[in-house]
Amino acid sequence: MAVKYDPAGYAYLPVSLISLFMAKFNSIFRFTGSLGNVIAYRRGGKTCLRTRPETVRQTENTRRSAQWFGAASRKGAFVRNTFADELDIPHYGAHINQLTRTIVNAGRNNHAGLKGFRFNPHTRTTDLIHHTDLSGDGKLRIPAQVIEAYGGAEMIEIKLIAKHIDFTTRQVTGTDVAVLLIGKDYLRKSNEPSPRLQFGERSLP
Amino acid sequence: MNVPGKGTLIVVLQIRVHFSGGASANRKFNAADIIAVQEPRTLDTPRVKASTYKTKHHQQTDFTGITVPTVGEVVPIKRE
Repeated sequence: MAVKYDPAGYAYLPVSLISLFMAKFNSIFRFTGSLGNVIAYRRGGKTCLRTRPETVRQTENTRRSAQWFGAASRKGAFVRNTFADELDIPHYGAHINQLTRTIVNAGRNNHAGLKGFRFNPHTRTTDLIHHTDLSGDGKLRIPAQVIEAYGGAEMIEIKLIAKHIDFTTRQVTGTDVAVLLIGKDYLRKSNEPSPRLQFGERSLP
Repeated sequence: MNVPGKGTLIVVLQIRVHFSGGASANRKFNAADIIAVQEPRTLDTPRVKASTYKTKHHQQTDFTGITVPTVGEVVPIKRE
């Protein structure tokens, strides 16, 4: 490989070789976004470069579809950012595309389609606590049940986050958060037939 | 939950499993789902295009004026 070194000692490839691959941006001074005709973007932890397309062929339908996708993407980002402060689970990455897809499939102004969306696509809340019931008065009822101490858990934390979101003005007009902790005495360990203390019905908040 | 404000109410349930070292980062032990969405009682409800198919093609047609009653492919003569 024809690697060359500049006077400062940094290695670089001749432009003719870089053009053989997808251009990767390895400079110390990096940027993302567009600079003239060049667009830099992050992909898989690396900064890549591409040029702006010279012509874009769009029909009226593809244009409308692209605009709707853009609107759904912005709305998804807004929902994610809205709950980011209260959510404590790690970001698993894939939920960004999935939230946009959920909004696109639900249709315009159909926010009810968001129900059931998982911020962690790998695990449902019902996988950890099997039975929960949100009643009409806004209380989360957790019926008496056996709760597993997965992998020797010390505690299970249940957090309920409710937000009023005005999608027309893109503002959060109200927030309420409630937390319930279930100690290890109420959790059934894998080598025990039942927990030390029986978990009775609880309500949140 | 008592949430003042206007707009769409979205309720998220988050469950985390804690071990001796704190909350787990394992994706198996963290979950957060949107469990309820309540739309405001204003014009923000989704617009559903009313289908005109049924009204065009599924109307009950009165065939009495089109068909003629027959008996053994012979049209009976009406009594005076």
